[in-house]
Amino acid sequence: MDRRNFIKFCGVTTALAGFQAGYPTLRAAELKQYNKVKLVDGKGQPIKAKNLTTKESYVFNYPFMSTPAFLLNLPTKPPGGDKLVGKDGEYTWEGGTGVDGTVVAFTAICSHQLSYPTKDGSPISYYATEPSEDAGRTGVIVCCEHDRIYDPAQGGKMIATNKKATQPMAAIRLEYDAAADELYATGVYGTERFNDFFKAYKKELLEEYGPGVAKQEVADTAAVLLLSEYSATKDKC
Amino acid sequence: MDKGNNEISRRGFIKLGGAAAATLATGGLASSVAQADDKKAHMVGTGAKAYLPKAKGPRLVIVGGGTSGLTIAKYAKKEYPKFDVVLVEKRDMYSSCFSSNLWYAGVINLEFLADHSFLDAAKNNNYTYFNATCTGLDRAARKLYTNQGEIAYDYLVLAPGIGYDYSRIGVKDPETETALRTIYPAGFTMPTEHSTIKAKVQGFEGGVFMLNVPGGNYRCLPAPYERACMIAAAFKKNKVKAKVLVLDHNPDITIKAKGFHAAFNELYKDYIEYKPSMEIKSVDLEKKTIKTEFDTITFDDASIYPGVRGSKLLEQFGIMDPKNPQKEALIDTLKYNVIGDDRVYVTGDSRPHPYSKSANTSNTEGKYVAKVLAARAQGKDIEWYSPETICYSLVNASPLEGISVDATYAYDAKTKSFSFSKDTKMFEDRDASKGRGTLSWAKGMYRDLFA
Repeated sequence: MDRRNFIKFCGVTTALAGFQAGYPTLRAAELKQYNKVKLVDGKGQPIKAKNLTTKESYVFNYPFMSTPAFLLNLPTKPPGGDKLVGKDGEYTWEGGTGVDGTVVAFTAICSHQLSYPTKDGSPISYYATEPSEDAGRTGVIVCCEHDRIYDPAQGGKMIATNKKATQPMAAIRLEYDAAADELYATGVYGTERFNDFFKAYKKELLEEYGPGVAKQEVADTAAVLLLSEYSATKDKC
Repeated sequence: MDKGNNEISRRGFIKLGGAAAATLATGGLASSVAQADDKKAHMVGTGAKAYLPKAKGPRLVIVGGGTSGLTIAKYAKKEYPKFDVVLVEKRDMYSSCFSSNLWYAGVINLEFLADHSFLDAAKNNNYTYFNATCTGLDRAARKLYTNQGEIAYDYLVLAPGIGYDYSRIGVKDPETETALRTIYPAGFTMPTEHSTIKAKVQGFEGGVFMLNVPGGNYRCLPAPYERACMIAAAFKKNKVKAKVLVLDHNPDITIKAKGFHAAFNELYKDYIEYKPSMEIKSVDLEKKTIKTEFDTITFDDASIYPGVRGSKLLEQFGIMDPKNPQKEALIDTLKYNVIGDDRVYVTGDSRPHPYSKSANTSNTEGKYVAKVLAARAQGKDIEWYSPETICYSLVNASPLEGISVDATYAYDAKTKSFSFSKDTKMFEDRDASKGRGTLSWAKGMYRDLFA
């Protein structure tokens, strides 16, 4: 058991109490709990789930200062309960949250070869309104660098048939405060590759964040920006 | 003291005048003279074991630190941590062949290609980098010979890359071949070739700069066309009155034809002349001409790409397929082991498969072969799956614009042959996304090989 308290869910456990009702049963899923942080806007004000657009994607850094995650408001509620296979075995995706159950979050680090949005540009993005040429449809997260296509409505599962050795995008666990219409990020489940990410981008992260910052856990609040604000350019494919 | 004579400086540096040197040669070096009389053959690295730490598990030796070798060294260790992995590489400085075309147009610098350390790759991924040239192989004794001594292996992977076959462009004497390698290098193997071509392109003062596309399965199908674009971009930028003449052995551009034709016609109309079905039959270095079946073509400067073959190492080690027109390896095409020897494997561009000989192919194939090795070391086996050829080509240097292809392969068990799978996709409308993608793909590859 590491200091971040690796929690194994078997069936619905007490850890789920108080979360929005309607989550499918979690079986043997592994949640890595990180700091519980409130999602806020650029000015530090809590974001309201009902105000999230379905036309664009949002990015916030979580669970570490340098690890971006996508926050998406899908046009329709995903069923959830998808059985996915990660590096450490099978897990179940919980589905969406928010008032209509449409709000989902995934790490924005491609589970294939770790491409991610930087302030200069993003090879990976969510195709909300304009179809991806590669996928031939909207509603997908596509990493242009190696044409990896993920479906956020299926728990971030990779949907191309001819590709090998790519895990689903790791999911960010969201908690929804229905009374205030506010969102919290509380952990990550599925196959996260943060250690590989830190190793691969050691030089770049040091340059961008300065010494010792990249691996710090985000605390209290995480600022949510539109991808178009977060990254200067967005690759399309 | 007379400065012309022997003066010993504080660094112990001895400056010798003529007279003093003569004295030393007859007196002080007598023992060296005696040794030089011993005229029996002295071979480097024979009879001694390589000075390596004792293997802590099954020893996997990999020859060749290109894309294939680096990938297998890293991922075999990841797949099966008990492997004691030794990467034998003759170069002491890495520089990638992939992305090198971009240098000719000044889109990247040499640091982009070469600032990647074999030492860091080894340290980061828990294997040993052994800087040596292999000189022989004894498969019965499971020993690899190098100029730094012998290495016993449990598993051996040879990833030596390609060689050039100049006979395929009608050159059959060592004088002409050596002159061609020196004066008009192909630029598809050694970094020193890239440096020569870069200098040629940047210093070109006008006239016809000839490139050719060979027949057969040459290394990196789109590269000659991308190179034409990059060289034309440099000429355009330098405002040189010059033409890139592309002589293609094939009846049309071999891959991403629509995208390249569009770039040639729309971006470089005055700079690129493309001629299909032009097989080079001979080269005349004096006259600076090449002959095809019907034409004689004059050039001012050139980079001449002969036919491609499997590395000569395979032939020397007796594992070349004599029936293969490109002299590639005689291996099981699904498991990569030499036929009849499950301890020796050949991967990367010496493979006999019709796959595109590209970095992404070798990288993804390497990950599969790493799994094969890990499985076999544990008495298991795994199912074949296809490598993936994701290949970006930059067609415009300013602004950056690229095109790409994403191919996988299908295996037909009946005919035991490979073809492009139905999922193969071409992205031939050039744009800035794929321009950026060309660079970020390369950075991703370096990360995967070295971090």
